[in-house]
Amino acid sequence: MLSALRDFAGYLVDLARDTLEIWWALLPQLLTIHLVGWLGYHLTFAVAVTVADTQLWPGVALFSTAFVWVLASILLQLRLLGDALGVPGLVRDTAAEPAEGSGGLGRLLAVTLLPFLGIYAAFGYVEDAVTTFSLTSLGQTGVLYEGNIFVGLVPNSWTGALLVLGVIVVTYCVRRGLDLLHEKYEKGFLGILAALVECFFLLTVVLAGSRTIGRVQQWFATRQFSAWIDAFVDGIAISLSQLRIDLGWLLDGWDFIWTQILPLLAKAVVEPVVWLAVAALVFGTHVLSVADLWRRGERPTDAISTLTERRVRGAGGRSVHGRRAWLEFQEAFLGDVDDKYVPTFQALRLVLHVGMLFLAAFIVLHAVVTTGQEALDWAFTAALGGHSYSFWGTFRPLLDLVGTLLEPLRLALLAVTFHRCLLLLRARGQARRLEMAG
Amino acid sequence: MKVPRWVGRLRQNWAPIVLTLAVLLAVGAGTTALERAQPEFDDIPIEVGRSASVNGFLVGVDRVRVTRELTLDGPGSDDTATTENLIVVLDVRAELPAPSETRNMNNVQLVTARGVRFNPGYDSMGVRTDLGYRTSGSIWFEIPEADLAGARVTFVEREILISYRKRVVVDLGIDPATADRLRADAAPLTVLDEEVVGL
Repeated sequence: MLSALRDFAGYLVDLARDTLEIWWALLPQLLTIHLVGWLGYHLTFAVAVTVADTQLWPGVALFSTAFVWVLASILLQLRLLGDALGVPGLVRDTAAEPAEGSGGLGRLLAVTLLPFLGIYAAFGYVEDAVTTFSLTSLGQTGVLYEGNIFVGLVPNSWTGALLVLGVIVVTYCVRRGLDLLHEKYEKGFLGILAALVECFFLLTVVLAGSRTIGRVQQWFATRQFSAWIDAFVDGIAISLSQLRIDLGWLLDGWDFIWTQILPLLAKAVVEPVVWLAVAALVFGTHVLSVADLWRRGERPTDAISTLTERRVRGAGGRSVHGRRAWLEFQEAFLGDVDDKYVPTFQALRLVLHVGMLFLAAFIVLHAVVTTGQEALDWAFTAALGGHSYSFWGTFRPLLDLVGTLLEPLRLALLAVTFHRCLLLLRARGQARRLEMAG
Repeated sequence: MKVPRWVGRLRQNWAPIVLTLAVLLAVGAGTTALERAQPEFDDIPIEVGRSASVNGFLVGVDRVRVTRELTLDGPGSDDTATTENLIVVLDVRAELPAPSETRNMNNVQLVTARGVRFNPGYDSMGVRTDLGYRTSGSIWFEIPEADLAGARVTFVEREILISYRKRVVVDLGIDPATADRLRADAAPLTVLDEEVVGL
């Protein structure tokens, strides 16, 4: 136990020291990028609220663009930190082919939007933003106006529902088209445009999906079928009570785990780990592949030679035209799986493989920084004192800025942790190779 | 008997597993507790006889009385309520001497020493007034006898969109000895409808 404690303390000190050092060294650049992201987010948000009073879809499009500002700011800061820490060099030193980089901001945005919005949706940030959006809209238009424009995403009529579905399908097709155009012509603006459309698509799916689920649950709760299930559960409870088993106690226990323990663990554990996976994605899928080879104890150069040989052998016996047509089809319809879902899964798998104590140290530091952010936000709020809603509505962007001043420190922690992850995996890979050779 | 591989691993790594679980639970509990500890109100504590300003809206409690039989004497109403418990009757004053967004402190509650909250009686005065006026009247709460000592009353602006806002907390100044005296002196009371006068 003492050795585990020593390891844990060592990780904690190393990560904290490196984080503070890199954060302090890059503070002016990080804060500049952060301020630009903050400004872009709040300007777009303000315009979106105004537009949404009369137009649903342009409002949703601008709302999603606001998220792209936040993500772009996070990505650029992570890239800056990664370059300063030497992450690309770490991979270049060992790999046979040059590091692929990110293919520009657009490509990077497209790859990271999925986990980023996943975090935002899963941990309530999207819902918080929707609430702020609705309240700001209500503040502007008055309480007699239908403030929550997002209600329009789950319409009551079939025509309205078909319209939402149509918008989702068309947006998906446009996005894939832009992706393909971007890959063909490699123009930066096409990548950014694709990312904007992607964000609109994902947010529409998330917002419409979550509200549709809510409506289905509501519908289900008012059906006779739901009453039958209740009666069935009551019957089981009576039968179990004959065996001296209290079903109510079991259900209470399950409810406690579901509503208290799981959210607590999700917030404290899952969120930082998924953020770490986002940081891993920022450094490119190439970094992930090399790190995975290290994890398995393989030398990247050997793996590349094996892959090339396999490709040559594979191409020998098949129709080139048939294979090409199949690949085109795969790219057009299943490209998302390769581009986004696989790297996200890969990033998660990697960060979970570095060791429990290392991850625990990272989670503790992440909690310290995020608690610091909340404390700063709270201290500023308390310093301003209690006010009516109109005051907070006006000063909310300023309050957000103060609350997120420590965001660059959190991103520095993510970059440093991932860098350490790579070093640990590389050392482990070398040790395994030596062991196998010896 | 052959021991499964995972059992062997567990035996080897029990210390990191236990430590990690302990750390994660501590982090989860700590962050959740801190999140829940954030106050909702900016409290302004005052005593009976004084008034507090919330964005220029003045509110205060001038007198505290206790009864078991209360009569409301207003236009068209002459209702009497009796109870085995206690009815705490407060003389409340609301003034708006200068323009302000705050026009009411109408969310009123009595909080006992053990933290139980009571809402006022249905016909109590509304703590609201207009620019240049003072509204005076009575607010009453029915509470158990044992909860009289240490009771406080809170006034909050009633808003549709809520935020971190000011709350006036009036300490009714009822220590156990005062509570005994008030209980002993509890006599039937009559309260009048609210009165509005220009400042």
